[in-house]
Amino acid sequence: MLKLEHICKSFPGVKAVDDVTFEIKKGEIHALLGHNGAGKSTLVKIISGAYQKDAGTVTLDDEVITLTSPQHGLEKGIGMVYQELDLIPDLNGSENIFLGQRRFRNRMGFVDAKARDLEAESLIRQFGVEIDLQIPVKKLGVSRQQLIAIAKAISRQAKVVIFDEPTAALNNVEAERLFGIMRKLADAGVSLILITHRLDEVFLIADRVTLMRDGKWVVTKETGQISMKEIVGALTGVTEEEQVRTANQSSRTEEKLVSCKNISFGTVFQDVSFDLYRGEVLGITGLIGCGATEIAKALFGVCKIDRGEIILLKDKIERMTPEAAVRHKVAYISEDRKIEGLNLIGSVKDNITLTMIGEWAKAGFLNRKKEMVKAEEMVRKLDIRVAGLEQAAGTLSGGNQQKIILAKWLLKQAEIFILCEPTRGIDIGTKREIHKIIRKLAQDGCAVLVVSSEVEEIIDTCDRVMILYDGKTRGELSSEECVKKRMLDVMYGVE
Amino acid sequence: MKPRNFLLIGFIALLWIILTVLSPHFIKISNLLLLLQQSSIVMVAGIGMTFVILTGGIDLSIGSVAALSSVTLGIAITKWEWGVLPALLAGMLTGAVFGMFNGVLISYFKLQPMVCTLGVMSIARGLTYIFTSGRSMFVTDRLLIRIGNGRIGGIPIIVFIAVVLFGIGYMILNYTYFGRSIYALGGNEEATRLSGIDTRKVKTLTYAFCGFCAGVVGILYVCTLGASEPTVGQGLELNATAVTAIGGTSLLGGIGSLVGTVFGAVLIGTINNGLSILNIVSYYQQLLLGVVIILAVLLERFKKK
Amino acid sequence: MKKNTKRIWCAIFLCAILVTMSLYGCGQSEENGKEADTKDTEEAGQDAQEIRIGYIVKCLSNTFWQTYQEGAEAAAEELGVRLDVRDVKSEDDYVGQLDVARGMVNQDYDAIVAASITNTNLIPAIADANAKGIPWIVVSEKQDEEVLKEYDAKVTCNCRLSFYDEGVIAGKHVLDVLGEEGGQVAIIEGLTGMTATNDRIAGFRDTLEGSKIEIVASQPADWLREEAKDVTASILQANPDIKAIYALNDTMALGCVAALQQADKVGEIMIIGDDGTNEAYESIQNGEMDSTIDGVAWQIAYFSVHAAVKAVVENKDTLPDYDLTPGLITKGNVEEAMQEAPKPVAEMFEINENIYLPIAGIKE
Repeated sequence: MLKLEHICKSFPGVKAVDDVTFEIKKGEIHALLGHNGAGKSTLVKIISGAYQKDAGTVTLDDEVITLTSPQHGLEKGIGMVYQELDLIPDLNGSENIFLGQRRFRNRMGFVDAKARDLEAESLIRQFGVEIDLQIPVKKLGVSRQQLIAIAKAISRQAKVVIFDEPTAALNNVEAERLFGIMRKLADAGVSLILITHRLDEVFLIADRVTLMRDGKWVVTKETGQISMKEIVGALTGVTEEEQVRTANQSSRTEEKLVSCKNISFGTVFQDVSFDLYRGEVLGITGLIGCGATEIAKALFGVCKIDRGEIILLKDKIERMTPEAAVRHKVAYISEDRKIEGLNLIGSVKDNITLTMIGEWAKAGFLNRKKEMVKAEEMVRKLDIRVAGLEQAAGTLSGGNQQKIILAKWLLKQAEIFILCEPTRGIDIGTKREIHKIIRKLAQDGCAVLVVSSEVEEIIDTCDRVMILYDGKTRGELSSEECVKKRMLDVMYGVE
Repeated sequence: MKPRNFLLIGFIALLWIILTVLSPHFIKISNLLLLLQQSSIVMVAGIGMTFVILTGGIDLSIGSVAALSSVTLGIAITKWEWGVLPALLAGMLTGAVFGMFNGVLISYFKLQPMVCTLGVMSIARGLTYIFTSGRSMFVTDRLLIRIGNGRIGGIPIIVFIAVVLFGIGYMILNYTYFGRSIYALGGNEEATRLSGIDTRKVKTLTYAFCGFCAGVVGILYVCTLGASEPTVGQGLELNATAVTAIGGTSLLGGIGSLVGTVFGAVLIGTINNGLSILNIVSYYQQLLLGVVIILAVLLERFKKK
Repeated sequence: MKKNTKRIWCAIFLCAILVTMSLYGCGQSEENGKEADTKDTEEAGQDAQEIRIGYIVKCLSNTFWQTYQEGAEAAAEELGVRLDVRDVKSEDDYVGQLDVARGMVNQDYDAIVAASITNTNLIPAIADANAKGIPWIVVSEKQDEEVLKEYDAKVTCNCRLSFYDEGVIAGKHVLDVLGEEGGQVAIIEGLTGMTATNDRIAGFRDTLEGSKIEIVASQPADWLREEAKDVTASILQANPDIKAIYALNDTMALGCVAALQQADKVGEIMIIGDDGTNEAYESIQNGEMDSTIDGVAWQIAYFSVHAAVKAVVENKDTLPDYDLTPGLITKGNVEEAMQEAPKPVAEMFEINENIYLPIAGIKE
């Protein structure tokens, strides 16, 4: 019914979708699986019309379609329910469902609200729930908003509806109800595409699965004919037989620099405890949304915690703030360089020395000579490729920007380094350099915490890894146990 | 000096040539000195404004705060019969305190600079009218009048004051921890905060400095007019912003220089002086002023491309 | 913990500032408000049928309108009526003034006296007042006849203040002094586009037309002192031979004086102001300004209240218009002018018997 043939899509530098071919049958729930960055989001955006494909054909009911926009897709009968629910918070349910459609507009351009409300109500009624469609959707709970988003997706006799991580924000009861609705839609002849990270859901509801890896199609199978372990293996391209890697040369000492006891924040992360020793690299990983980033931020006082305690360098910190963290020699390298890391319009030198100018200054006056010397030293030490110290930081490549951020904390002589996704968007060569720097930090007696969703990165850099699932600690693996297959199994909740 | 400033100098030079051709009175030394003197007040205001705009904020209250400072000085001398020096100090302090008030509200209570200073603008103007009942008063202190109208070596004293303030501002921005923090803060506030710099303190001080400049402007008003007048400083905030923007300071913060602001002030001063000398009908004056401002900013755009 | 203490300190600091400021403000206004208090107590003793007059001026931060307020209050006190003076925050807030006027009509004042910003902006409110039978006394220039007709509105009485005449008087004075030999003069204009600006300039120009006197510059300074100073200084650069400057209000005239002081030319150039404020009188006494024009604001305000009360008491739709000639104040009569403030009303009764109300009659 929906046939995809040789679909390709490239972004500068990456081939996001590479020659993908498969078919979705009428009335089935089809799970589309892939590891982070496998290209599944790009693919469904092509199907829904949000992106335009570079090559290949999409055939819907024997008609070759080339969509120009999501609105166009909707008219053809392809709807999408986004993870971040693309509703307008201040409009009511009925207005949201039919947003952008001209159906209820009369010749004068006025909207026939009564007819629209009736239609909206009948759409919602088939879900078997009551929703007040006259109040702004921001006043509704997430699960109800989602139903409105679904109603929007099927509002024009939908043939295909795409769900992007629909259960991410739902509790179990709500998720079950959603599955019921999805099943009902499928029984009515609508084809559903489900994107999810949770394999248990796949087995609960999907009829067939398609696996993708690195932008390529891997396999399409009936759910009954594939096991969870097989899926993880196929998703990540790692098989049981992969050799045991050589463990990192650990320089861990017994001096505890960080200790977290039962820290929690809402449902984002719960009861997480760990210690970080001088000379070691601890990795925290998990699927997207597992809470690892938030824990890192909590350690630097950027995110709050509700419960639990954080001990830095033997001081129990009552109220964590960035200032307190810096005082306790914590360095924070954000996953978002542009927002939390660098002054993009400032010069390389000013960025590198930012943490130290206060200490070097005499009576408030800058020590400009020392700044130059130290900045130059850092540029040489970390091999930062710049045209000059006055070059604006924003004009550098991602890898060099990351090095500048590292440099400023090295200058500060921080002892606890927290790195979030330290090599996201960085080319492979620089990536390796940064991994080397991370190992070097530990050898030089710092404690390093690496938060990354990239398994290879964790394996390359860490002595020990903590794996989170849904905000809870799922397991801890030592350096020797850090095998890709094993980690992935834990990450996906198989083990 | 940055190429941007050369561009501004070029633009000013062009205007001067045009004005010289149009009127023989323009290029006289006495007129050029007058032009400098007339630019001085907006220059002082522009210096304070540049600091604030570099942090990515804005201070709309400077005109009213200047009026309040001038009235404080006037009342201190005529009503309370204070000495000149304590009265001057009171005037400047008024400005600094109101600037600080802005700063605290903006950095610690996270108010939007635009809205916050708009409110303070109204508060300060209201207080000015309340203290004076809307009446102006003569301030006939010798020292003040000498500051306002006197010259040293042929150059008006006010120009010296503006230059000294420029020197202080330039030093702060380029040679101190405070100044560097202002640039960093304007470039990326979050990153600066996460680098362990107390951005709130920096912001508060920045607004305090701007308020101080407004206080100086208020005092200069008293000196030049020989009276403290509650209506002074109307529209000063817009002029100061224009001067800063013409000088190449980005309204988003993080980029800009005081040198540019000085040239911006001279540019605006040139236009105002030139229009008066040519006796252009009032209807056209606003039009011309706007055109020149847009031209000055456009020129830079073209250069970038 | 530390953080919290810090916050508390912040809050205390802020509160302290706000409280001090408002206290200071209140303290100041209390001084000014004393008069009002005493009046209130007096009123409390009177019967409930007191007459309420609404009085709309332009902007009380300008001394000119303060003079108005004083004149009107003096009359109100004598007549024993209640007077509420309202203004708007700037002299170009046309719409704001209309809102104020409409508010007064709605509050059923017994009569309304208004100095409209332009000669049209309050006419809708006049029509409203007519409908309710509230007398409307105009104390600025005459309202536009055409527009009045359009709204079918009628004014009870015009206590006319003629800006044009003031310009004429300034022009005549310049002619008297410089007429024979001629010479260059300049005008410092007010806010561009306002009636006061346009009419005063027109009066001045019309008077000088055909004489040997040449107007070489006419530049706006927006009624502001510091602007006037800068503009004057620049004009002097281009026209060093100027003999006289007519500044359209006293505030700007004082700015001209400041410019002369700087150029060391005080006394060499005639500065003529307008409005007749006390500061201008002082300046004339000191030999800085040459003259100013007493716009007889005090008297006009005084008589306009009389007119309003008369219209209410005698239930009249129309009263004869009332014109007072503005007077020129020079060094010769400035002493007199200063002593006369507030003006001796008695002498003027005869001239203006049309609207003057015998005080005794009302109080009984």
